[in-house]
Amino acid sequence: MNIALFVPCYVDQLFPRVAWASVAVLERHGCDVSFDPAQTCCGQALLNAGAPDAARPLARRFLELFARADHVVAPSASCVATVRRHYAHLLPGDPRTADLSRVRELCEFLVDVLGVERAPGRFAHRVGLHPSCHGLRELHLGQGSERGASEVAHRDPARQLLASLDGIEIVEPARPDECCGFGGAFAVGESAVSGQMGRDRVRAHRAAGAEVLTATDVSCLAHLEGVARRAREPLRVLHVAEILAEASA
Amino acid sequence: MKSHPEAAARFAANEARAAWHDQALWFVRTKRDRAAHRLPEWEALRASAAEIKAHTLDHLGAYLEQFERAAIARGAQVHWARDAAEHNRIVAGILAAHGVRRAVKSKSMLTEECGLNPFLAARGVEVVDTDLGERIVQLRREPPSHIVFPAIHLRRGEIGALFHEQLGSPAGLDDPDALTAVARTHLREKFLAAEAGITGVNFAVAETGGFVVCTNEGNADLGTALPPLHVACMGIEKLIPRLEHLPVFLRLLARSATGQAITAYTSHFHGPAPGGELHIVIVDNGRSHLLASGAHRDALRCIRCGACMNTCPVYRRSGGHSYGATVPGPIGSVLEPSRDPARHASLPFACSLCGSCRDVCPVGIDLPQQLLAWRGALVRAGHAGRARRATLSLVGGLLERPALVSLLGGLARRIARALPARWRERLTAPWSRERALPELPAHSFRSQWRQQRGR
Amino acid sequence: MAASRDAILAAVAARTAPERVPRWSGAALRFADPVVAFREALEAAGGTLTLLDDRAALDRARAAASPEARLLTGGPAVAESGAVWWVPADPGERRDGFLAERMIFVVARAELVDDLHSAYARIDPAAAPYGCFVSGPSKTADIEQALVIGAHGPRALEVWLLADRVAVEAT
Repeated sequence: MNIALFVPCYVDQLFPRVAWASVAVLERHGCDVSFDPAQTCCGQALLNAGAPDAARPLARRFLELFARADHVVAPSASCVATVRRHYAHLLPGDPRTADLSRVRELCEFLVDVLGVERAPGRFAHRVGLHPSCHGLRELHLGQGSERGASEVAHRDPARQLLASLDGIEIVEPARPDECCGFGGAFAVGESAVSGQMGRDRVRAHRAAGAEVLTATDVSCLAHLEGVARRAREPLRVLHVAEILAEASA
Repeated sequence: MKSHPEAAARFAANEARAAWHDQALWFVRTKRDRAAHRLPEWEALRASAAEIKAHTLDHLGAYLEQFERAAIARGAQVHWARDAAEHNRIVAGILAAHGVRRAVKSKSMLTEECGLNPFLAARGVEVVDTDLGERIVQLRREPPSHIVFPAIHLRRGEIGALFHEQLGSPAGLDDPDALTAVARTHLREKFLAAEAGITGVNFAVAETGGFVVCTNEGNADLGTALPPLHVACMGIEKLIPRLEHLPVFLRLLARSATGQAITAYTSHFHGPAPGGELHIVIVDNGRSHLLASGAHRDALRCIRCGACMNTCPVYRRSGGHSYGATVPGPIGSVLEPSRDPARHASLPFACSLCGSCRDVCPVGIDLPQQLLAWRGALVRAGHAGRARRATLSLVGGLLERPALVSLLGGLARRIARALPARWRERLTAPWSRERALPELPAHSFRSQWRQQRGR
Repeated sequence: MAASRDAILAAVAARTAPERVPRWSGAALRFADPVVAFREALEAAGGTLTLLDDRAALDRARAAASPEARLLTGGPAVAESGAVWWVPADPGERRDGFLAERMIFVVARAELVDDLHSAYARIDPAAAPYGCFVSGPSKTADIEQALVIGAHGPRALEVWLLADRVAVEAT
């Protein structure tokens, strides 16, 4: 299967290991991964900062570059949410936004398209899974705590794959889906609150016994790792792709 | 006037208080969850409420006229106020016409918005806010910090000190039961002496010309059962079409606000009490502007439950006063910029876009989308800072050019890696104030891919 | 002020009468045992429920009631929320009810309905200047979120559910 990899701009520049882990995982499952270096950014940060005009050309660029890809996979729920949920608003009337279901977050792709039920390998650690807000509340990857159990349950591909690893223990922190506090420009514009939110998340995961903290979004993880290191909390922070790659190595 | 980030940083600096505030409101959020999840039809109720409110707003003029006709037919007197100043003049006029010097008022965010209390006080009318939380902030001469729990920012010791100073309770008394008993005695006197009762309106029913006021304390009832004059103040968006719609909203309101199935008292008013007078003041004060805006029209569905505040991780950690607005939190950040974009420009940015508010809103307002729309409007109008606007255009332009991204990204990383850590932190202060910087890689993914995969 | 009225209505613009009004069509809440549900909801709100069989039981209960209590008739009662619909007979009863330390509602068992929609189908709030769903004693959590019973209104609420409907009307 041919996969067009979309690497979020900050992952490309600051966390290439997450992109490599994603490639490793996809290739392990038999995919032929291509990376078009003409890609840059989905435009999320600009859209969220109140500059939809600046985001628009980036959105068009994305749609052009990936027009012929059967599957676009990104190790980022928030970028995928921007594409699937916001591009139609951003480019009203553009026929290319009519169906963007072929753009998926990595775990979503593995479970929904490749039909992976059990992730291969061993990861014998206590792991806290932080649900990215965009993944949870915009892509419905997982069940938000605001919604009742009587609602149709949404599946959580990242949790499913992690839980299937040999030896893993997924811990349950208090306030399981409270925002980590990154929020894009919010992290610097409202740094006091952002920092406190991050510290509260780290503390909650540590209190639940987490040795490793993971998520489907590097943005959340960079913030949480930064907070944890500043607070001298012994917590290993890894993207889900890195865990899956390490487990099956 | 402090922007939200500055005020929030101040609030967060008192870690013990901020943690308590956060914990207290999170607890209310969990009570809301429990109450909501007990109803299998909860999501259907939300959808129905959203539909009814949207429909009402689509025909608001017709429903307002119907409401007025029906209310007058029942003997109420109906007044219309275009703005806050007119609202205040009308209420003052009604009170003056009856020689009222002492009035009691139950909770009404509208009257707070219009600044009614100081207006009346300047005209020799004592207005006592009878909701306990409101009375506390009134005595402290400060605004409420939450629309349902006005004094949530205060600890019992502070309230005890306040009551000791102003109500003569013993020094050091800080037990909530005892303090409430002090307030009960104090306010009972006020109720008995009141010459008029002013209330807000939770829901106004177009079909019958009546309205509903919900309280747990019974203060709206005592305030209107004793004096012969009742003045009810309502925003134009409080209308619902029919009586049969009331249960949809009532079943959602208390559960969303406090986790109760219903408030202790859900009072229905149709026309004046025998021998009394009922005046209804219908207020616009910017609501028709929001309605016409298109983009922010949905915000008028709000039933003022406060659930968005309780769930908002930012509100919980920054407190209502940091918003500098009558209504704080997520919904306030959508409503207030409409009044004064320049003054409230920081509010839509006081949000991490987590989306929790949207999922708890009983009338399904897409708050994150509204906040995003405001961000765009404020940046475009230049209210979010010229520097921000320029930076965003610059960054946008940069990101369209992969070669430039590679070049500048590589350069930035090389320089940053070469700098001593302390310099690096100082240069990235807005980030590094709260968090360590990530380890910077020598090469970007794209350059590594080109090297290793040759494409 | 007519100018304000006109200005507001013009600004709002939407004056076309609706053709179709949305209605609640969701699933009804039905309890296997409404009395149990009512008791749970009422007790959660700080009230108490007493079941009485007949006129004689009612008379005994009245004799035993606190002198600070005000006896009132109410109905329908709502199982999902422990609420009782009360239309005071006159302004005096309304005043006395709220000034009393204790409110006691006598409600016919046959008037207990499952949910609030059912209750509204049976009442006509527009027929009286004042009507109230009462679901518990007066309460507040305004001081540090600590629940305190008896803010301004009555400190206690009792509901007496009476099997004999006729006896209620004679109260």
